Amino acid sequence: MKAADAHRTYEIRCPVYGFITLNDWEWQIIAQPAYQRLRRIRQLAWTDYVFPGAMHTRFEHSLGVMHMATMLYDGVVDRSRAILQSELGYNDDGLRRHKALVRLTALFHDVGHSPFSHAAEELFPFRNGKDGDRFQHEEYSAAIVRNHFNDVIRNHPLNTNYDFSAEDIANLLEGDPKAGKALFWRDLISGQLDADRMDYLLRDSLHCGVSYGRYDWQRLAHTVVAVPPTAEGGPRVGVTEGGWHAAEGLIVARYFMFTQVYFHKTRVIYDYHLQEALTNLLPGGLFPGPTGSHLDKYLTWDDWRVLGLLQKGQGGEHGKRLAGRDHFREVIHTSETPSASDRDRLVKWREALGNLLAAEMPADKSWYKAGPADIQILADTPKSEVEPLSKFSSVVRNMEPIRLVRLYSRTEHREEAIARVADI
Amino acid sequence: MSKTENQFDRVALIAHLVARAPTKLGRTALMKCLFFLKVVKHVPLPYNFGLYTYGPFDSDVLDDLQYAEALGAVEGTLVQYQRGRGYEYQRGPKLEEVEKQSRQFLSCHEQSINWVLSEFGRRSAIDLEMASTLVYIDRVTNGKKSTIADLARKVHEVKPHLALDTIEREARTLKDRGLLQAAA
Repeated sequence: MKAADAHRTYEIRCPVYGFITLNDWEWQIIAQPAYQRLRRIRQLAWTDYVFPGAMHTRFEHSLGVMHMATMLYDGVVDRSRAILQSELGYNDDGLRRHKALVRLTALFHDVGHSPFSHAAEELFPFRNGKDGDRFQHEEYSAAIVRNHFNDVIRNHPLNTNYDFSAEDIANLLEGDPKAGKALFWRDLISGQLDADRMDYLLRDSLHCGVSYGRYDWQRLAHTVVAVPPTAEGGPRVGVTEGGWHAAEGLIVARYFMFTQVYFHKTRVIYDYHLQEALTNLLPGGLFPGPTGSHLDKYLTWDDWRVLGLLQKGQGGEHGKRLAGRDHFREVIHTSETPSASDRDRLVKWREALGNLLAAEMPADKSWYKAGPADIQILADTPKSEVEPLSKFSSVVRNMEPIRLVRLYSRTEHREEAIARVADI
Repeated sequence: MSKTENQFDRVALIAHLVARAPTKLGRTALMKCLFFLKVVKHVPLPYNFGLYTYGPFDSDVLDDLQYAEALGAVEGTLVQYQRGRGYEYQRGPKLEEVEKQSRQFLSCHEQSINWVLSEFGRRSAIDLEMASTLVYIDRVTNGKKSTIADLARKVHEVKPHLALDTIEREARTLKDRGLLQAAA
């Protein structure tokens, strides 16, 4: 590669930000087959069955996360250089180096996604082989980076400035202690104020054709800071007092997107149908794990492969339901935040429905969470105290977590099912 | 037991910890107590703790805590700390109602709950961050033998704002109590 080529930059159109700029290193990375696979994984699975515009992919989102993470990183450094130096020992070279690391980590954060994104993660194998915790998509991402991207990361001329290996990026993705103080930036990849969430709210909202996920991201990018350690721990990423309304807007956007899109009664039952169809399609009913030769087999699974199998009539009953847009119908649901007595009623609904209960979808198992999970605010006081956002925002203070449970029956049983629960 | 019922067990556990704790617990203390219960005592909790500069963290814990508050099982109060404010929790008016529905789960893990409160129920959030980070890193090494000094150095790399000798002292204490597996 000529040195001049190595220093080229590239612009890609983005429906959210206008243009996203990549350097040649990043450009070579996204050209790799294991990265191009993200073009074949839809961001929101079968959401287009409800919101027809939701056909965007993990590829588009991943570029957006890198762009957003860069803006947040620059914002934190601009406003918090002193804290980054005193608490984490950063100098200018360290900050320049870790900016490149954060960009690459953000670019890779979803490279391990299964077909149709989060909808099928219940089919990841268990870490110990039989029970306990399942592998997470971040572990797949880290394994794919280590096994498929080391050459392009290691050997690009731009890396002479950084000396990164795939291991450095995988460590930050996984939260491995070998990442050292770079773990501070994990808040921007997977935290309460992360670029992932900030991008998908905007992007999903745009493609679904709703306004619920919009918030003032420019203001957040201009008020994000490193907050110093307090008695409650730290340091961590937060927002200046001037940005608290923007932070509140982000949390309200999460709430609206969860209730109106991600946990929409029809959208969410398609996650169930997909999971059941994949259980039928996958050897042993599970995806290959992120280790050894299994990883290459895992990478052969994308939306195209699944859609091809469904088109051939495979996937059992649920495959046919997916192909024919013939979903289970909601019978009844709890309130958004069920009380203890609501829980008793739920138990009675289940008993009354008996074998008419075809599926149960609880919001707490959803990957997309609506909960506020307080953001730290650096107050405009003489001592620059750290306060939770809920101290400033009565909206956040009074928000309750969404623990809605939806019960479904087959279409042909719906009327009878509704009759059975009507008087409970 | 269905997935839906399990969330009530988690909420009941959080409320139970708050009610039984020797001092009022803050969010960080609750987070770290649940981490110890899962990782050290193998209480079947679905949390996926990831490592951050502030120690093991899973936002689902805060979501469950918020649900416990919404159910009236715990009550949060904003309190002043030295460099800011945070929440402390105490038992709420509906505690018994919530505990009653998960009595079997709570009694099954009563010994572990007693253990975590007696070991960590009085410690500060900063101490708990350090202790939980030590335990996390010790167990992430997956049985590869290391030394206390090596473990302390790794924690110091993640948390350079803490003094190395303080981390080493904490590591020795945890080792003496049988909480570390790999570090000798």
